[in-house]
Amino acid sequence: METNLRAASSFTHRLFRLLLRLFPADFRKDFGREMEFVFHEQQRDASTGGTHARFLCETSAGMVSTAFRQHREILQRDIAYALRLMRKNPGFTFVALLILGLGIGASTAAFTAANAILIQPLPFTGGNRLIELHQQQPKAGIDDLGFSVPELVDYRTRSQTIDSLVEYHEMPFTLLGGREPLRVDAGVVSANFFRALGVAPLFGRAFLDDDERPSALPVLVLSYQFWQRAFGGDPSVVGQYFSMNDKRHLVIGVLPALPQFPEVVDVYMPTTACPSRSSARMIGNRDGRMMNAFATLKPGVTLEQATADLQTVAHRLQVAYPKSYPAEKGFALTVAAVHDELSHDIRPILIALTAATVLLLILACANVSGLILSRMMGRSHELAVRTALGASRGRIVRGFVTEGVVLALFGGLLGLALSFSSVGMLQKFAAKFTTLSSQLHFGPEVVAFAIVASILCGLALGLVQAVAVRHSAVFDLNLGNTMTPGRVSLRARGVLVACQLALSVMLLVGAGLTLRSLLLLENMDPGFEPRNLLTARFYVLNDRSKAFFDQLLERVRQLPGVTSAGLSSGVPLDTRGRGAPMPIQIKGDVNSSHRDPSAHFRIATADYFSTLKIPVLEGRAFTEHDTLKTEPVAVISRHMARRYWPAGNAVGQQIKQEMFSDSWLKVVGVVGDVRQYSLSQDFPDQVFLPLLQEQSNVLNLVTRASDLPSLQQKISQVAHEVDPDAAITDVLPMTQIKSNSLASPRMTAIGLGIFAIVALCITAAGVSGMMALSVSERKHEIGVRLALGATPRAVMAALLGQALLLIVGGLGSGLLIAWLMSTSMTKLIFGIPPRDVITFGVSALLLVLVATLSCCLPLTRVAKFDPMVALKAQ
Amino acid sequence: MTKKKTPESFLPLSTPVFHVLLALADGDKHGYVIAKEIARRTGNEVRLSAGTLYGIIKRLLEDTLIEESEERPDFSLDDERRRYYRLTKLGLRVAELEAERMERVLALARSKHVLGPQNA
Repeated sequence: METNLRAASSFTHRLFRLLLRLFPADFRKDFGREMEFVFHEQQRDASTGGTHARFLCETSAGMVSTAFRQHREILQRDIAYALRLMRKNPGFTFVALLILGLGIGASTAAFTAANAILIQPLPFTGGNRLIELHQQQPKAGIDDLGFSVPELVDYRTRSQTIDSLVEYHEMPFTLLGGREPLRVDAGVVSANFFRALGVAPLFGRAFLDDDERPSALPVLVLSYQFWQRAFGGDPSVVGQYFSMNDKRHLVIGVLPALPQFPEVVDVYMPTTACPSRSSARMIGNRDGRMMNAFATLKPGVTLEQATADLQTVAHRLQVAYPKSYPAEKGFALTVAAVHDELSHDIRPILIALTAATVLLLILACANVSGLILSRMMGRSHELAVRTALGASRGRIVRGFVTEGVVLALFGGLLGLALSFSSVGMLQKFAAKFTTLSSQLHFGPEVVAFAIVASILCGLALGLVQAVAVRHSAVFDLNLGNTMTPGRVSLRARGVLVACQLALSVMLLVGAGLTLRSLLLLENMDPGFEPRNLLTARFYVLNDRSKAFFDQLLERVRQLPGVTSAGLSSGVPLDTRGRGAPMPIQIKGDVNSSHRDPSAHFRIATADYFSTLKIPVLEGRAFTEHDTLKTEPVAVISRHMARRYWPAGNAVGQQIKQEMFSDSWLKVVGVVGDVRQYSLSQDFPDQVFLPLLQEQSNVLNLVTRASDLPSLQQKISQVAHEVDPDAAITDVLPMTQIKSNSLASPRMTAIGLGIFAIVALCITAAGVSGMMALSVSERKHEIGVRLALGATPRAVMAALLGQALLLIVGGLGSGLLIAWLMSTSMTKLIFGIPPRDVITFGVSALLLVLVATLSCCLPLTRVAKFDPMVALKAQ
Repeated sequence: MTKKKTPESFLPLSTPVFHVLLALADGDKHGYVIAKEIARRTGNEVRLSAGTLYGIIKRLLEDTLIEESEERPDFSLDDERRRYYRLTKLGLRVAELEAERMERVLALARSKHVLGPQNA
């Protein structure tokens, strides 16, 4: 019995001690022993009175609530004190808030984008279970073969791991019945496409299974953006008929403003409404591959499991239909999460910018810590008095942390305002890379991030002070030596400044690499002359196309200022139409080292090359004599000629591509290389076919003219005079297409550049502040040296020398880290190695220059020193 | 640092705080005795655990309503862990004012017949 009592008493004793630890240290020091005594006495009373359990409960509750109140009181007092300090030093407060606001604002803005695009699930109910399937022919270099109707049926019925496999392909059509003919991009989808996504229409209805019956009335669902653009957001468009593809189509619904995928299109139609998709030739043809395939994973199924399952299906298809999956081309099926596909292009940029903002935030904290340490010098007396009045070291450090957090929270408020105002800009930026940009908004998670970032910054600010004063005599009033904390602060500031220099040089190197890469791309010879060149894309009905394009060319050539004009199936630097190269055959190339030769194909008129100023290097360009009645001919690019006929005998050779022609094409000329798809890609192997021997209802007009703006206005008028049903898109100067193609590297360079400049400014201020502090701290020493005959110049040189040591130290470590980390930039740069010596050198030089100049300003004060005044001040 | 507070500014007092002041009105006491007396006088209605009691004592010390007493009882009756507290002049004045305030409230309650004279 007694043993039990003792055990119980020891337990309650331990419990009480544990609860006592909840109290602030000062409180424990003042009252801990007494409280323990009272507790024991009360416990004895309760045991004899039989109310022990109630006593324990009441004591525990009292301890917890009082401890909480004590902490709250301290916090309130510290916050009030921090606010008073901020009011007392408006200059300091302004600068510190500005720097913290910039740091927190930039990282919050980066988080806003990264959160919306990389972290948040897709805004469809199907969300992150959505996957995309790809069929590939690796040996033929085809990474996205597409799917045929029989293949879609097979994967749908044979797979165990996916629900609702849906198809998608894109087709341009002309929509008639509105004010003017509209060129629309139509997404041709399975009837359950929107059900699989979990998207409900804003107005009207989505597709039903009945809409996909072969005899069903053709129906359309409008995308939100198209509905706004073409119909001004008028809901009465639902129920209206439009003519498309010679058939009447009924608009049955409008989609909500959700990000579209895989592409942004104007209207959606069921598969049966698309003439080519619903043709008998297509439905039964396993090789008629033109569709994309999407599916949702069954609940609980991982991407890996689905991949394994679908690959098993693919393997069975290969065995069952060997003709459709020729072994020499290879065959593979891959599966990717739709979220990853949608964010693929912007991911490296977002990661780089986020990393840059984190560096900037650390730099901002280091800088503000430096400012706080300088201020601490003036507070040494106050801190000593507080220590003498009984405040413990822990209590004072706690005050520092609260001051830091309060300051950082105000900075965070500024940062939030900054990031809020940047949302629109971020959306525009992200829209160049992903349709998920529409998800970018200022939500509660952004505010939460800013608060957490502010608190972390505040903790860092407080802890830097705590560490800086740890070994100092700051708490000892008896020393009475106000120099001591200053010295400590100076040393700590030196370390902080070195950190800022290191972070700055890292940001400078990052910005420098992307900037240099951008400049290389800007100045890259695209292989043609982009100035004074206007492009426009035309879509006409098949039977009118030849007459239309003939007349169009003729009329455009007669316009004032036009020097030449040509047509082509694609313009350079336009990423659309960039597919895998198509396999070709080369006559006589039986034992060549080039297995599976392939090339990109374009259709062009005779004047296309001269209009773009693409030089004809060998043979000739097309002429008006290359018609259907003459021998089929082709012009190839220099790169292709070099690859297959290095001896220079390309002209006269024969090639074949089955899709274009059953007969052999004779190479009649070699033209200069053009950066066809992107300035950062190598020259492609390109084959041009003459328009007169091919046919196309979609062509690009390229016009060289002296006055592009007036031509830009006239071009659609001319086209509609020729054919009122013709649809025109992308009327753009070539320089703008070139500029658009560099959007990604430009955005990265601008983003990193801004951060680097901000970092440089903050660091310059940090260096200058440290130097000023150093001069004022060492006033006495400088006074003595001047009095002993040293020249101001010599004293300044000595001080500068010490500062330079610090600069070189910070710079060196920053360069080393940048050197080690720069390989992660590989995806973002072009034409230069990630460890580009010039970029590293220039960045280092720039930083040394700025840092040295920042040192010099405070140093000039030395020249004005009167040694006697300095000595007397001591 | 802070302005000196007037006795009135402390009013109204919370019940436990008032009881602590009352407990010290008739002489210096240490924490355990304060708590014990309050429990006894209120018929266990107001029970102060160690945490609550010292939260109040700390506040009263800071506000100089009480102070630590230098006088200690005879060595044989003492325990070195105990600290004795006594009411300051300000503390006494505040307790008086609170009592008067309560009296006025009682008078009001009587005049409104909320409280009968027999209940007083």
